[in-house]
Amino acid sequence: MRRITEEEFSKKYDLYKPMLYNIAYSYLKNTSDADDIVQDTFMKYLSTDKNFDTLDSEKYFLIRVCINISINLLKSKWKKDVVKDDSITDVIYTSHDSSNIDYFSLICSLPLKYKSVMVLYYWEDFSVEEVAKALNISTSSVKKRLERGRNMIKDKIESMEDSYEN
Amino acid sequence: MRISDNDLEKKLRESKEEIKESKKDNAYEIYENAKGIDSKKVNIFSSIRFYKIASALMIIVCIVLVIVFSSANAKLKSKPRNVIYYEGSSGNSASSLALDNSISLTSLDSLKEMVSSTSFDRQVISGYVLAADESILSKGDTGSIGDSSWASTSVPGSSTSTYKTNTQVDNVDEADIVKVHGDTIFYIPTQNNYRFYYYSSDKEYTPTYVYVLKTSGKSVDIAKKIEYNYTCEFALGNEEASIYNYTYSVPMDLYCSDKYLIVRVNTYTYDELKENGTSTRRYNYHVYAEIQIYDIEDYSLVTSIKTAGENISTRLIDSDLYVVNNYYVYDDDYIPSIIIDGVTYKTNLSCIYYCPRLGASYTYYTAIYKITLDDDITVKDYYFLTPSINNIYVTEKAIYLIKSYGSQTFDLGDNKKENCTTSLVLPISIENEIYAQSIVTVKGSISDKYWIDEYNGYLRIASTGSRNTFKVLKGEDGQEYNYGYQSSVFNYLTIFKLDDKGEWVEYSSIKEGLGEKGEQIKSARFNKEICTIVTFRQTDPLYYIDLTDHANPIITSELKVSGFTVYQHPYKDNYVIGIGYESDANGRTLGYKIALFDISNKDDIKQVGDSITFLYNRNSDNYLYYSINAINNPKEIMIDLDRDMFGFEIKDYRRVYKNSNYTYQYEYKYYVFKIDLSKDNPLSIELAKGLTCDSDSYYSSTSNSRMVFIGDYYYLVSKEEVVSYTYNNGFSQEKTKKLN
Repeated sequence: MRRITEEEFSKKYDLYKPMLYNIAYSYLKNTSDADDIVQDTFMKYLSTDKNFDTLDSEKYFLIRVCINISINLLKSKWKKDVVKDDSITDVIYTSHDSSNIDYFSLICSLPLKYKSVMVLYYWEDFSVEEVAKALNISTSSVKKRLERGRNMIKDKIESMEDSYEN
Repeated sequence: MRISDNDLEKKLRESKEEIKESKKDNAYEIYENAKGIDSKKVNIFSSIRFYKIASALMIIVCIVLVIVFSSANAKLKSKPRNVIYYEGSSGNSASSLALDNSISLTSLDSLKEMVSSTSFDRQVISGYVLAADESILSKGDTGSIGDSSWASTSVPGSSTSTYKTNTQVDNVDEADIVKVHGDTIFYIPTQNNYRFYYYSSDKEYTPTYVYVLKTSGKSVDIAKKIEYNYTCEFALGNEEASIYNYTYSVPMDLYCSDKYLIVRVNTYTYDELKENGTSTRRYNYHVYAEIQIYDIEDYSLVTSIKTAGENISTRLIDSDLYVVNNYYVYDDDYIPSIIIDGVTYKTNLSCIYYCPRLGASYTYYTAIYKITLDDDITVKDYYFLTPSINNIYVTEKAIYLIKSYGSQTFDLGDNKKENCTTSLVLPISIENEIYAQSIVTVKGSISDKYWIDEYNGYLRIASTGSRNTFKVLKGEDGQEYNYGYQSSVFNYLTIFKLDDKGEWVEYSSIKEGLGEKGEQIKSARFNKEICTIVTFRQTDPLYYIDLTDHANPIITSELKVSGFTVYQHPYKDNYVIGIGYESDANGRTLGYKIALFDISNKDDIKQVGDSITFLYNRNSDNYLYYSINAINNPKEIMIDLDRDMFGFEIKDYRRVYKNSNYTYQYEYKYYVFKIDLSKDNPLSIELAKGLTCDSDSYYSSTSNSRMVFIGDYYYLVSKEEVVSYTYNNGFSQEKTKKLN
């Protein structure tokens, strides 16, 4: 087990848990799975001796572990569950008032590659550089993915409205 | 509808509000669960550069090995005059029991086959294992038990006029960072034993020391500082990229015997690749637990013994030092080797024992070294094929290896299954021959070594765990779906007795009544025929269990108080000192608590007087927490019950939000508590001494200050200084001696 006291661990838990929970929630969209993933992420953290040169690298490690566990759980659920995953097209809107659009679901329904950058950038207020470091990709990849993610969401909103109006 | 970019940005950020709140806030639970996990031994840094350099290194290493190997054959294997290594520890007077239970393998091939065939096979069927090689199993069950005198006195450490380590069993000494021998104090002031991991090359590395402090009343003199430093060797490379090999030696803990000072040293080696101003490390996983033996009079190094594997624990019984390690077979190292004063000795195959009664999983050896510390130092080694061990409990008669597995699934029949934690206890007799007894299995986890106790031939074990029962449905696709999960928590007290075949069998148990629904055991303490157990989820029942008749253990009374005790210490046989946490009605911890319980009437146990508390302030910006390391490491508690006192260090840390920045402040204090039964509130604080602490302490959890006593003089040792006191109804005449 990692050599850390309970109090030190508790500090890290308080510090990172909200962010990890939000990330996990964006993948699994329910509290119990998200809670389980958070737990598994911290267990993995406690069970490895991996050393972190800085606090940031520790944070990014946790994020990556959390995303990996989320994706794995998602994949195993897709195999077992008969229910289709709710994509953007399943959401029904009854009004063209933009305030009723569920932006949360829109982010959650993005392809996994775009979702992780969107979640870190918009929900956790990471800068582009920080997202790049956390996910181990280049800053230009981050910018491209953010742009594509935004465009996908924009397209969805615009096409929904168009189909409604039609 | 078109949406502007600005609006979209705003909406995306606001969408975070839609996240439903988490239902769990369970850092403590996660931490507790993680305790049983073995940490990964290898940190492999993966990158293409690494493999390039690594292959270059491999070539160098191969060349070096060829040179060393050819010279080793010519080397004189003469051992130092007074260190004798017995190659092959079986032989002498082998009892039939020893031979039947611990079988030496006859060939390297059969060993290899066994080790590689089943790894982590957890199906233990009634304590026996389906061996890969049937012919070995046939030699298992004959023989009668030689001596049944398994009784040992397992009495908690009390005190005399000279400080002794707070050990679990009398006469079985445990290693510690401070020891007293006559008028000499030996102390290792490592603020953080693992700090070298965070060491970066721009900081000055400071060596660590073992201090030899001679006392004379209040005066303290530094007789010697035994230094432990690091070496850095350039391995290969050029201006662009180069590899350095670092070796650090860090003293971890020590013992004093009549003739010797024994220091356990951890040696860490890693290769550092320095390239373009960045550096990355690859840690070497070849571990040795080094035992350095110094003369106790002149502190000169007598010998250094590097035992194979990663150390779990050690014990000193009279002049026998037992070193228990986990040895993992890396890279075909089926035969371990030990290094005595720089000379490597490959162990004999006959020292590796397969014990059919010890259960599955052969990827580990539990290595037990018996080092006898007479004028001649003798070394004997034994390797048992076992699962990896978390902890040990040692009496004068046996070493009990403890393994808490994590979860196992049991088939309950009728399409129902149950998944719960299980633990194994593997007793190794050390009285005459060293040999394995039979496995003991309990459901639940054994969280620390105080939960297991042997008394008069009975082995008593407290365990706690959770079980998930669920139903299994086979789908049309042949896949299995689990559903209908029901989970519950259980707490057991199980008592085992040796039968005449030399096996431990379950004799009696308490499986109901310990803890209310959802509660888990937080601490257990055995004191001869009394057992006190604390369970907790929201309140703390303290249970008194009467063990005068081991066939019928009975819970005779329970006491509900808030919070829960983590460490219990018997006081005058009629009382228990409880050190643990305070909590609110929902079970959330509020801080620490020290209380005194009166257990003189087994049908009506009660708390005596008020408890002493150290409560947190959880204000979100400026919070205050306390941290008491001693409750997880009882050796840190100074037990001085002749004077009705006990003491340990308490750290408090605050986070202060100032100038849009969080700053952390730490303070360490050493507290001594006194018990005065003549008062209504017997517990009081006798001393609260602030200690100088290291400002660079994000990763340090304790300052490891300790207090010891010799007669009427008390010495508080810490990294910076030794503070001495005279005690006469109070601590007085404080005197400080700097240690640098």
